[in-house]
Amino acid sequence: MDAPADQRALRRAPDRSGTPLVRFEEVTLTFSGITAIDDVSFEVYPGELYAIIGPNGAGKTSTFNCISGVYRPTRGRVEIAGTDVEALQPHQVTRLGVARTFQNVELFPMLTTLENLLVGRHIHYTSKWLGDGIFRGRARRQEIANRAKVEEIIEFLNLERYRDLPASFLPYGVQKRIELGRALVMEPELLLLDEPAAGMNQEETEDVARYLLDVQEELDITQILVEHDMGVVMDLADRVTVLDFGRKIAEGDPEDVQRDPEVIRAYLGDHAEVQ
Amino acid sequence: MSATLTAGTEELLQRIHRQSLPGRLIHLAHDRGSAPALREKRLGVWQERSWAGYRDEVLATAIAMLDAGVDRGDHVAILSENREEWVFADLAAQSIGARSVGVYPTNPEPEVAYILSHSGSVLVVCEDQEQVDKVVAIRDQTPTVRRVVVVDPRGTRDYADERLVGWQSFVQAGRDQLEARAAEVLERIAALDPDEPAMIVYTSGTTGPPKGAMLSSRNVTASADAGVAAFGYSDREQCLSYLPLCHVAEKIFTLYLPLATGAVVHFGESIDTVADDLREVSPTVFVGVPRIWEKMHSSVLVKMGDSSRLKRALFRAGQAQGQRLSAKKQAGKRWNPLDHLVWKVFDLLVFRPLQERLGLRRCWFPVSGAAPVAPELLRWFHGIGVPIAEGYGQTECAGVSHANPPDAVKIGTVGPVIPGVECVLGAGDEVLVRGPQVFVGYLHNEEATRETVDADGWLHTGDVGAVDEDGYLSITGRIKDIIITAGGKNLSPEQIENQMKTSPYIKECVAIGDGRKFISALIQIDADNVGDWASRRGVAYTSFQDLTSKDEVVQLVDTEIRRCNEGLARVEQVRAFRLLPKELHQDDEELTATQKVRRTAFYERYAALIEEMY
Repeated sequence: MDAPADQRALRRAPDRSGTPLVRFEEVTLTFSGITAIDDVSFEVYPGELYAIIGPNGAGKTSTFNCISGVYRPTRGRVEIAGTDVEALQPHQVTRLGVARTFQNVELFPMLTTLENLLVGRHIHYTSKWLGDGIFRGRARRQEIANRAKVEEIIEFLNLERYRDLPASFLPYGVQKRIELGRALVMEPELLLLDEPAAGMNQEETEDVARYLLDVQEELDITQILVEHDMGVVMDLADRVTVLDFGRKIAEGDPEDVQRDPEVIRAYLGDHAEVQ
Repeated sequence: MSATLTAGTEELLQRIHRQSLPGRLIHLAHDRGSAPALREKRLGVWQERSWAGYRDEVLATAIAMLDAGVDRGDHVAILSENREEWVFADLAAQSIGARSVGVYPTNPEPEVAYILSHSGSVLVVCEDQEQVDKVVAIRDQTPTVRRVVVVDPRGTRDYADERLVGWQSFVQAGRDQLEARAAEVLERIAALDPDEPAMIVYTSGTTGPPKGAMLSSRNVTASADAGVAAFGYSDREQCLSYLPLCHVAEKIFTLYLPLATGAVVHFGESIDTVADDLREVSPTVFVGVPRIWEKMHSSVLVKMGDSSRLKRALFRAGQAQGQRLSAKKQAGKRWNPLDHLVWKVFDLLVFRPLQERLGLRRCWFPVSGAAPVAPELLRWFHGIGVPIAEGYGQTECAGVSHANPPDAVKIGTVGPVIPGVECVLGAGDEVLVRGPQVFVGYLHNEEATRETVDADGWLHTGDVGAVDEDGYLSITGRIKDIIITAGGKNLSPEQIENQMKTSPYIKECVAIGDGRKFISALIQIDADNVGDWASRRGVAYTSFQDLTSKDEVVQLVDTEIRRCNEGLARVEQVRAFRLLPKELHQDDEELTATQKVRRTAFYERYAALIEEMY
């Protein structure tokens, strides 16, 4: 991760003076008596690369699921671009410009890379069945526009050589990249990434880091990233929230958070010596 | 733009001579206008550029370079994979009277630093962030670099280095002034001295630091004209530019030859998609280095292993008949009607589908160059109707001095001299070459130039050769690499190594035997093919190193070596071997940018492994 880390200092810090894109307000989530999220609040501003980290079972994925509308908070409020997601179904949250990737790869195994990405354009298809049937007019124009967008992302993520190969034939790291691509072709404003580097080797992890920085800089997409690997996050994120047993124990820039005694305790155990 | 060029510039056009590449481009653009010159695959679609469009981009780039202070005799470095911008930058620099310097995009920082500072480059064209990072990091060592033009500026937007500028905005400034200043650049092209250096080609340097060979406009145009005269290369040819453009071999096929006749050059999507691009373009001429042919060969063999029994039987029969018939043709014997029928049948059943899959169906002139290739590999390709012609030449003579004519190939030779070149064998049967192609000299290295070109103009190639009764040259090895065994036999390690590399499981082989009783070899297995073989047999492994330590794998390589040994004389046969525990890499200074083994470094590093065998 040398190069991106070196360049990190040169990057502009995202502007945090405006209105936040995501507002997570005093959210509590309980499942039959178990508290997954305990009174957590944070705000994510447009253009930020925001990370949520914590040990296994800290409530990271639950936080994600609250944002994407899969779970309803027991108490508190989640707002995206000023809209309360409480009353929305997950597919309606998507219409707000939210895309996500999953911890485990969720691609259509027998579709090619290209086809998997075209699926991501689904929300941009507005044509009717008749037009589609004869493939004229708007249907045709849309198909061309959608393909063009997909090709842009194929180039962005260097997926050219895998374009016509079925997803299941491809290495795991490439499948994760395709999944990222499928989220990007939606042209989201907010991208939710659930452990994008899980199960990857060193080189693949560095690739992912580079792509995520490119997404931030070139595509101007706000990203929220869930990760348990501290290393990945420290070089990437603008700000970090640390969860432990559903509680927020720290928030701030990666450097400060890394030195926070609470955080060190959560990661290394009570007896770890704080240096 | 075309209009302005034809209006007041007819007289100027007359003065532009055809002894330079930019001059040839101007004339081709004038004669051919909107006919296609370049195609590049972008966003999954082949985009075409006309000759006039090609010229205009080169002129615009030249204007931008002039504005950036590039002048006659300056050096412009290019760090990129093959793409349109590569040739635009190259020809623009030449138009001004400056020299282009190609740098391998795979070169690590220290090597980039060496070339930029040695050449004193003032402007660097970088393909992307990866290349920019290197140039930014070596800023202190390269004070001459004033401008860094970035073709794909993704990820570099917030870099603090004020030398950086995006290709589009850089060239756009030139496009905006095209009407006003095209004549200025055309005047410069008309004034180009054909004997001045036009480009620097750094040789990969298996020993010592790379040397910058200066090629003049006359060198490269003479090389192209000889190729056109000898092989019937026409204006209808289609080719794919994919080998590194900093190497003279690809320069011949991307720049020299197309600019001699007006053929079309294609740029694929990326280095990873060559196989697909090749299938789509189906070029009429194609140059491959041995590694490319080896890869194609092993990909066919591996795919065949997966196919049905019927297909395998057909393939074997086709191979046998194909090799028999092509050998018969080469021996100068006529085919009888039955021979023709047999060829036709196998062409339909085996050769044609195979050629189509490889993208070589339309290719009448498949060439192998840049390094010696195993005769057995060539026989195999001839046996599937791909009559590869081996060529030969130094960077120092603009890339080619010898080549097999496509209709009279002799396998195992590199062919007769091309028109305009003289060749004799000097002391120790060293191949000496003379002609208009012989280079100007090494940049900033008079001494090396004197050692290479003697007072009579003979270029000393450093290769040992023999010439047969028809004037075909065969190369037996490098003078300095020759192995003299303890028994006093002179052997060429390359021949032994290439024979071993015909096995799909052997990717790299280094033969050892100087002053020893027998020949041994260090082998790097082909990770993909051996990995595939291992998983098929249920041999579990974790890493490359683990794979090389498996008894089954050692056994496999042993069998392969025994098989390959059959093609060698007794004294040349490999009697002992060890598997390398890692893949050789340029970053570890084990390979050159052209993927050749640096022998001295290699022998030192693996001395212990070598001693084990004796």
